[in-house]
Amino acid sequence: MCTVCGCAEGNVSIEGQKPAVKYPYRPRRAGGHAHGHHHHHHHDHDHSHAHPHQHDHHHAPAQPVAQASDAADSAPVTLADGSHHYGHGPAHAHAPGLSQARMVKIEQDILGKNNQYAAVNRRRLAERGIFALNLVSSPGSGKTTLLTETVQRLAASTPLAVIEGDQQTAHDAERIRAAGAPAIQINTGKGCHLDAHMVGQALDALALQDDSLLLIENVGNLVCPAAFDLGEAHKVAILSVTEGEDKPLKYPDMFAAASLMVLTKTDLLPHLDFNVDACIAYARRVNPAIEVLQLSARNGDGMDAWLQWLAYGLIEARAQRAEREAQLAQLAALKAQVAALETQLAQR
Amino acid sequence: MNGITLQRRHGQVSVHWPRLAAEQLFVGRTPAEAIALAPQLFSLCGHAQQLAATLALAAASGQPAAANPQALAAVRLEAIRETLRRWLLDWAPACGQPCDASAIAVLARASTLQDYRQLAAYSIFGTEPAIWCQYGLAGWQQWAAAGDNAAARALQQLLAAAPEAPPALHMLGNTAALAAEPHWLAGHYPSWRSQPVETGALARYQPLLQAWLDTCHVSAARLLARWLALAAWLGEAEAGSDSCTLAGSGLALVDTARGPLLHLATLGSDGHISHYRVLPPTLWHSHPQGCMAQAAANGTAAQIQRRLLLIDPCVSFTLAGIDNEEPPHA
Repeated sequence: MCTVCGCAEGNVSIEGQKPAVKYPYRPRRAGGHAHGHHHHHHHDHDHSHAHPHQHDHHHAPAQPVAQASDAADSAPVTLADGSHHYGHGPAHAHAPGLSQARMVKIEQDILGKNNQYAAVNRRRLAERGIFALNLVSSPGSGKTTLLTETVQRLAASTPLAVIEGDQQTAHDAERIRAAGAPAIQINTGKGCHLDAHMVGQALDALALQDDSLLLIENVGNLVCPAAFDLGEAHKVAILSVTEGEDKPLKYPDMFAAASLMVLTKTDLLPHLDFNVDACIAYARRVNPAIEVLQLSARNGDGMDAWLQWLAYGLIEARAQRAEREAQLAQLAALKAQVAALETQLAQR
Repeated sequence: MNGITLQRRHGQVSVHWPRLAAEQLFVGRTPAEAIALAPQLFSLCGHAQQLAATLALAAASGQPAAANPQALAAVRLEAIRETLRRWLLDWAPACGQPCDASAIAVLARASTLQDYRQLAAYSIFGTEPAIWCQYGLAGWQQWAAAGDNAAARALQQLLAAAPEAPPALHMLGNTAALAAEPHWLAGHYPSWRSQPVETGALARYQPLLQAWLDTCHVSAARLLARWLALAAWLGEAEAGSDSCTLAGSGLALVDTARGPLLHLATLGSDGHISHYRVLPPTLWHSHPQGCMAQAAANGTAAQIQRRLLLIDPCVSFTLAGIDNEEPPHA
C-alpha cells in the first residue's frame, strides 16, 4: 500500500471546496522520520569519566544515513528463478529507508484511521438506502466510458450520483455531468487513490437522494485502492480486454477485495488474443466468490446484465434500510415499554 | 394432502381436488374474528383473502364498504410478488430457461413497488414494464423471436409448442353482474351458464390475445396474459375489488395473481356468521371439464406439466396415468 510510494502527501482538492484539505492522519511523508536526520544516542556507563552521562549526539549527514537506512532495508527473497520478491516480510512491501516494523506501523495508523472514516460513510449510506460502489481499475480500462453509458441509461429511472477521483483535472466529472448525473471531482494531487475521508467530504457536498446509486470512480491504479475502504457496498474491479489476462494474478489484492469483475471493451475481442476463460479462472483463483460480467459500453453488449446487477444491488440496499428502520422502531417501542414500566414501578 | 390429482384413463381425464374448506371455521364467529382469522387460514394471497372477507361481511351486514387504499396496495403487491415468484420458480424452468438464482434471491429481499418494478424490468420485460406494454401482439411476437432475455426465449418456446385447443373464457367483471345471474353458485365447482370457464388473466386479456388463441398458442397466451397483468399492476393499475349483496348475503370480489377471488358470506340474526363460501380462481379451473382437465387431455407428462403450471393452480398437483410417451392418436 501507500507506505511504499509515499503518495499520501497533500495537494488534495475537492471540487467546490477550498484546496489542499488537511488530512489529520497522514504523515508528512510516507517515510515518517526516515528523512536523513538521524539521532544516535549512546549511553556509555562503563568507563570512568568526569562526565558520566555523555551523550554522543551527532547529526549524521547524507552519506552515513544511507548506512543506517541499509540496516532498516529488508533484503528481497531471491526465488528459484533468480527473481527478487520484496513481499515476504511482515509489511508485504518494501521502501528504501524504512524497516518492515516501521512500514507496518505506518500502514496500521493510516488504514486504522481510514477504516474509522469508512465506517462512518458506510453508516451514513446505509441509513439512506444508498447503494455505493467503488470502481477500481488501471488507467485506461474504460471506467469513465462505462460510467457515462450507465448514467445515460439509468438517469431517467434511477436517482444516481458520481464521485470522480483523478490526480488532476475535472474532465471526468464534466463528462459525467454531460451524461446527466450530478458529479463531483476529487483531485488527489500526488495521491494515487481515494480515501474514506475524501469520500466523506464529497458526500457532504453532493446532495444525494435516498435509495439512490452512488458510483465512486477511483484513481486509475490496481494497487493502493485495494487497501482503502471508502464505505462502499462493493468494490468493482474493471479490466479491459486490451490489458493482460493475468492481471488478477499480478495484482491479487485488488481482485481479492472486489465482489465483481467487469471485463470491458469486449467488442475488441476479435482483434486481440485475450483469453477470457483464463482471465476468469485467474480471478477465481484469487477470489473464488468473485462475480464476472463481460460488456462493451461502446456497442452495448452485456450492458443489460451490468444494469441488472446495479438494480438488484439497489433493491438490496433498500431492503437493508427497511430492516434497519424496522429494528430501530422495535427498539424505540421496547424503550418506551421499559420507560412505562419504570414509571409504574416508581409510582408504587 | 390438499392437492389436485389429475388422472387420465383411456383418454378420459378426471380431476380430483379434496379441497379443505378452511372457511368453515368462520361459521359461528363474529365478522371481526373472521377478518382477523382470514390471513392466518389462507397463507397464499393472505391480503386478498382478508380484504375479500372484510368486503363480503360488510355487504352481508347491509353496509357495503369500499376497500381502504392500504389494503388495496397490499393486495396489489401480493399479486405482483406471486406472479414474479411463479415466473422465477416455475414458468422459466418449465420453458427451458435456467433458474435465475440471483433474481430469486433479490425477490426475497424486494418489498416495494419500486423494487418489483426493477426486478421485473430485468428478469422479464428487458425494459420499463410500461414500455413493454406498448409493443402490441406483433411486437411481443418479435420480442420473443429476438430472444434477448430468458423471458423472451421462454415465450418463444411456448409459441413453438404443440397447438392446444383454446379454453372457454369468462372474465368475472364485477359482483353486480355475478349477483344478477347467480346460477354459477349452484354446484361444487362454479361454472358460467353451465359452461366451465377459465377466469384468470387470460380471460381479462382475451381481446388483446385473440389472434394467438385462434392459432391455438394457448400456453403462450396464458404466459403473456400473466405478464400483462403484472405490467399493469407495476404501472398505475390498482387491484380490482368490489362487493354487493346477493339474496341477503354479501358477495365480494378481489383480484389476485391467479384471477378473481370470490367470498360469499351470510350473517345470522345474532350477527354471527351462519354461512361462508370462498371461491378461489382454482375452483373454476379445476372443474371436471375445466381448463385443467382440457390441458391434460393429450400430450406427454412434461407438456401437461407445463400447461398446468401456466394455468397455475393455487395448490400442488400430481399427474397419474400419464407417461412421457405421446399416446397414439386415434
